[in-house]
Amino acid sequence: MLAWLESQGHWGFIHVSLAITLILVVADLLPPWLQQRKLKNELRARARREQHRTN
Amino acid sequence: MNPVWRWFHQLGSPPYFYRFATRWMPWFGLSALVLSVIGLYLGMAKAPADYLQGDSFRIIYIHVPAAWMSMFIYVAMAVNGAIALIWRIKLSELLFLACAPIGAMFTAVTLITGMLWGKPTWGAYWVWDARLTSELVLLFLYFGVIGLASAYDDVRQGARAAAVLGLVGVVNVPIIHFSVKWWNTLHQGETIRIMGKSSIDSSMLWPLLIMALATKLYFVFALLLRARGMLLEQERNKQWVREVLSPPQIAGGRS
Repeated sequence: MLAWLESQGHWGFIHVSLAITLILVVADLLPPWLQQRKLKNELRARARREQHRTN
Repeated sequence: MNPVWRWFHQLGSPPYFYRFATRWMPWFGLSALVLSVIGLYLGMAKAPADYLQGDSFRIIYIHVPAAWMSMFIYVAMAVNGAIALIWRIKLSELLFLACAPIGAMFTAVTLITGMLWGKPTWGAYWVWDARLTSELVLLFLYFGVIGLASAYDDVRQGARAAAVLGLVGVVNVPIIHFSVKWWNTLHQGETIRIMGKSSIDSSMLWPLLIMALATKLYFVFALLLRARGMLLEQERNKQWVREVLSPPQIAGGRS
């Protein structure tokens, strides 16, 4: 794999740098975003249940 | 009270912080995205190739802003850690914890892009050079903070224990910064100076400064996102959470 990368020249290194950065940024943002969405849905559902009970 | 101080005090209140983060997060995220696109376009397509390094120098537009952020975030994390230890402000504990994974991400980007730049420039992906080694130590410090904080069941206790490690690790930041001056390293010296003339042409410098601003804005966006999530998790049983998350007809039991 490294031999392939080196055969691509300078732009190969640049493209791989961009791709890895993008992957790491997505990996940084996606888990907290998904977790927060799940938690918000959970809390909203709980609030709705409590509201039904009080009604 | 001074309006800035008042705002700072207000920001310590969880409901205020939640509303502040929800309101400003999209703006920080969007500006970071737009500036990244502009910076990368200028850096990759418009800036001339380096006379010595050729096109491979363009990795600078990812590597250098990421390296700056890896150190900047560590300092920001340590400041929040100190505030958490001294004044026990809940929000500072959360900000401290939220900084660590973002900082680790930037440090990983710095090391990987540095390796990918090193091969065409030095002929090696890795050398045990002072700058590279101290940056690797920074990554381990971030991992240490994340690991130590998550070893505790109580988030607040974990944050305070990890804050001690975070504060001790601050000593590594000046080592990274001055490593190219203190030791004879393979890594190139300072190119951009805040005081004095930078040894880089403005056509190459501007995209770099735009990328530096983009990474700062990204950091604020990611920090607000993570801290908001942690705050929600910690305060899930509080009335204000019920109020901000519920549709108007069920908020706080109002009709």
